Amino acid sequence: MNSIANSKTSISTVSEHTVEIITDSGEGAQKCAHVFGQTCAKMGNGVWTVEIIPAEIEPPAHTTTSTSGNIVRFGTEKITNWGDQSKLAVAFNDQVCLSRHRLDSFDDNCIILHECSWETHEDENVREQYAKAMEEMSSKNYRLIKVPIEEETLKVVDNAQHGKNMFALGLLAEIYQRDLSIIEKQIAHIFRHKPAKITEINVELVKRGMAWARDNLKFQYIIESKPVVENRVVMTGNQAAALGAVAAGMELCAMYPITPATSVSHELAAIIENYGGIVHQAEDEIAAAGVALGASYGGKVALTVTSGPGMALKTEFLALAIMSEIPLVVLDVQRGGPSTGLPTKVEQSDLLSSLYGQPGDAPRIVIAPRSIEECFHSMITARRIAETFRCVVIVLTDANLASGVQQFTRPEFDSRWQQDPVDFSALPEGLRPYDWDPETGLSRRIVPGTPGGQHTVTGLAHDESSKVSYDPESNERGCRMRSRKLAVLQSTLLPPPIYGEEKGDLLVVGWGSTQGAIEEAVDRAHDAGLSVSSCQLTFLSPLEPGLKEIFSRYRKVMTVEINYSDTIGDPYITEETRRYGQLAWILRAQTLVDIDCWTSCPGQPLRPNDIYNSILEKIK
Amino acid sequence: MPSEQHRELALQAIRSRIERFNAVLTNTTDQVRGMLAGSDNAGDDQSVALGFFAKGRMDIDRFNALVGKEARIEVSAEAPIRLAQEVLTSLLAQGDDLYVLNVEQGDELGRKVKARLASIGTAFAAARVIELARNNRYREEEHSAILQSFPYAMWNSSERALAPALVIEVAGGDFRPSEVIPMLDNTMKIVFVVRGDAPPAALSRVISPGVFVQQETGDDALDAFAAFEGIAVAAFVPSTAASFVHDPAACSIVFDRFTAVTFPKEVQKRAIGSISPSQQAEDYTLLESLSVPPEVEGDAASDPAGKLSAWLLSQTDLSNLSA
Repeated sequence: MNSIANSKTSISTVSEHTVEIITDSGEGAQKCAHVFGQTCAKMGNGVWTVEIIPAEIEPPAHTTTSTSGNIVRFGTEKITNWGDQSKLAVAFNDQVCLSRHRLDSFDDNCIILHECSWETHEDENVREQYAKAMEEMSSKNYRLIKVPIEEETLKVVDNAQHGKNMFALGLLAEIYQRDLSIIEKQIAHIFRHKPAKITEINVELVKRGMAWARDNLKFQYIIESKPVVENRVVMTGNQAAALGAVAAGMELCAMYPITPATSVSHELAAIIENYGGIVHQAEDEIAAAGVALGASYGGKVALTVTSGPGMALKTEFLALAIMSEIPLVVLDVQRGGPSTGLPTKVEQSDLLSSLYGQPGDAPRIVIAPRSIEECFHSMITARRIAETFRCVVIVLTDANLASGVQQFTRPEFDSRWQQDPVDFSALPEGLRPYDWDPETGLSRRIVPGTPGGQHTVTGLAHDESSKVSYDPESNERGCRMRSRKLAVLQSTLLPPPIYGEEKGDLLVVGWGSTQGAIEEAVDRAHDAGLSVSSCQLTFLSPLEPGLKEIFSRYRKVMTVEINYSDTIGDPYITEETRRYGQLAWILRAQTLVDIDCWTSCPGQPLRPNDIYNSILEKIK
Repeated sequence: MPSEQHRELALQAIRSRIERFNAVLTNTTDQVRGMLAGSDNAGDDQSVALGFFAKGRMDIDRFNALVGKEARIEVSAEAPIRLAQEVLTSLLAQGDDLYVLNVEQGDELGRKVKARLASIGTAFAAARVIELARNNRYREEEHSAILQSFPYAMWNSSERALAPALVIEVAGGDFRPSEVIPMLDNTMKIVFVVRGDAPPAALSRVISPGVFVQQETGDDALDAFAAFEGIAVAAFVPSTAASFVHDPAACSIVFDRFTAVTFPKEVQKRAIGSISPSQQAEDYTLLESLSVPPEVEGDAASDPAGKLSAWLLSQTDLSNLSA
C-alpha cells in the first residue's frame, strides 16, 4: 500500500483499459473524465464513458452514497459500451472507493490511486472509517497506491476542492501518455468564459499531477490509436439528440426539466435560437406536450423531451395528437422506474408504456437509437416519419446513451433534412382534413389559415371532415385508418441485420443502447466456439418485418434487456405466472415464438461479461 | 497602434455576435433551400430527407411511393422566396465587411449607421417575406421594398436580440456617438475605431445605467465588453483622450461602476472637426461628474442609505402630521 518512488517505469502495451475517476459529488470528477475522454478520442482512441451519479442532489460527503464520477473505457479499436470491470481508479476518498468495491466495479487486479490524507486525519472516526474500508477491500488483489492529491493540489490553489480533479487528470495523462497540448486546449475551452488565469492554474495542476506520477509511479500503459482519417465529433447522447433536433429543423422544443433528459434542452437552449427555433420550458410536463402539439398544429416542427414519469403525464396530449393526427416527435430518455424510480440510473422500462400506455386504441411509432451517433440521426428520421404519417413518433434513448460520450463521423448537413413540413400548395377543391386514402390511411395535413382548409380539430371521434361523429361506422373507420398507417410504415421497413451467423443455436435480440455490450458478448461466445448471433431492433412499433422467419432459423431465441423479468424457480414463479422482459413480451405476442429473456435492472448498463454468462446458461 | 490592429481587436470583441448572426443567415438559407427542394426535386430525395438512420432499415422506393409528391410551395410563392434567398446569400457573401462600417470624413455618423443596419435588416425582411409567401400572403407592391432596406426601427424585439454588432471606423472630428443612441437597445454592441485627433470624453454621452461603455486609449483586447450581455459601446481613441470603463454590473452606485478611469494630463482647447471646445468640455465634465466620487460631509452623507433617506425626508411635507 505504499507509493513507489523513483523506480524504473515499466511500460505495458494493452488494447484497451477502463478507468474510473471517483469522488464526492461536486469535486469535479466529471470534468476530469470529460477532458480525459475527449483527449483520448482526439488522439484517435475508441472511447465510451459512463457517468456515476449519486441518487441524491447533495448527498453527505465522504460516505458510500456520495460517489460521483465517471468511467472511461478507451482502446485502440472502436468502443461500443462500458465494458466489464475497471482496471484503474483514481479515488478521492476511501468511502467512494468502498462503494465501487461493493458494486464489484473493480477488476480483481485493479490499480487504485487513492487520496492518502484520510489515513492520518485529525478525526479519529475518519481514520477508523478509512482503516475499515481498507480492511474490507483487502480480500481483493487491488494495488492500492496512496497519493497525496490534496497536499499536492494545495501547492497551487488555496482550496483543494477546486483543483484535485485536474491533478488527477495529470496522473492519468502521465500513466497513459496523453498529449498535453490536447489537454491544454480542452481546458482552455472549458474555461473560455473565465479569465485566462483560471486556465493557467488548471494546466499547472495537470502538469503537477504528471510530474508526481512520473516521480512516484513505476508503471505506464500504452494504448495505441489509429490515425483519424475522417472528420469526427465527440459528444454525449443528449448532445447528439439536441444537435440532431436542430439538424432536423425542429423549430420548437417544449419541455419540463427531468433527469436524465434535461441536458437535451440545455444543449438546445444554447443554440436553437441561432437556427430560428426556441426552447420553451413549460410549467409542467403536460403543458410541455400541449405547447409542442399546438406548435405542430400551427405548422411548425415540434419536439417534446422527457423521461418516464414525464411520459406518464403527457399521455392525454399524446392521445390528442394521435386522434387529431398532428405530427409530434417525443424524445423519452429512459431512467429507472416506476414512479420517480431511479432518476439518475439507466433502465429500458418504458417500452411497453410507449407502445400501449394509453386508454383507447392509440397507435404510435416507436424507434430506439442504438448508439450516440444514432441519437443524432434518429431525430431526422423521426421528424420525417411523423410528418409523413401524421403520427406521434417516440424516440426511446436511455440514461446510458444520454450521458455516455462517444466519437463518431461528423454528420454532413443536408438541407433536405429540413424540407418544409407542410405542403402549402393550393388545396384541391373539396379536400377534407381527414380524407384518408382507404388503402394507406394517409391524408394531407392542413394547417390553420390555409385557404379552403378551415376546420375544427377535436379529440372526439370524428369523420373525414373533422366533424364530431358518434356513429359506429365513423369510429370504426377512424380506428382502422389510424392503425393502418403503422402497417404501411412497416411495409417500408427492411428486416433487421443479423450480427453473426444467419442461423445457429441461439439468437440474442436486443434493442437500443445495449447493442455494443451484446455484440461484444456474442463475439466472446463465438470465440468460445458457440453458435450465437444477435440482432438489435431499432423499430419497435411497428416491428421490423420478417422476425418470425429469422427466429425460426435458431434453436433458441432470447432477449437481453435492462428491465425486470421474473425468474422461473423463484417463489410462485412458474411458466404461467412469469413476467417477461418488455421486448420479449412484444416478440412473443407478435411472433408466437417461445422467446426467453435475460434481463437485469441494476441501474447501470449491462456488462458484456454478464451477458456472456447468460448466453452460456441459455445455450446449455 | 495602427488602426488596422484596433480594427482587428474590435472585430475580435464582436466575433461571437458575428458568428451567431452568420449562423442564423446560414441556417435560414439552408431552410429556404430545403423549402425549394420540394419543388426542385419532385419527391425523389426521400433517401436524404429521411436521414442516415433510415439507411439499411427502410426501403426508400416504397417510402417514396407512399409519399408521392413531397411537400412544396405554391408556384406563385417561389419567386419571392428565391428573391429572399438571394438577399440572404448576398449578405453572407459579404463576410466581415457587412459588420464593419467605414464612415468617410465629413459623413454623418448616425445616418450611416442607420443605413448599414437597414441593410443588415434585410435578413429579417427576407425571413418575413418567406413566411408571407409560404402562406400565400405576399403582395409584391406591399412587401418587396423591405428586401432593399429594412430599417432598425421596424425590427421587432426578437430581431433586435439577434442583431449583430458593428465596428465603426470614424474620424475623430466626426466622432459623435450620441447619434447612435436611438439604435442602442436590447443587446446592441458597437465598437468605434477612431482615426486621428478625437474629443477627450466623447463616449461619456452614451453612459446610462444599463449600458456598458468603454473608452480605450491602449491596445488591450475588449474582453469585458465582449463578455457583457447587454447593450455595450466601446471605442479605441488616441492617447490624448480619457480612458474609462463603465460597467453596470460592477456596482449600483454610479461612480463605482467606473472600474478604470484615467483622465488626460492636458485637454486641448480647440475644435476637432466640427466638435467645438465647449462640446468637448461638456463631455469631459459629464465624465468627471459621473466617475469621481463626490466629496461628502458627515457620517450620514457617507452612507448611501442615509443619503437616500435624507433626500426622501426633504421631499416630504410632514407638517400635517400630529403627534
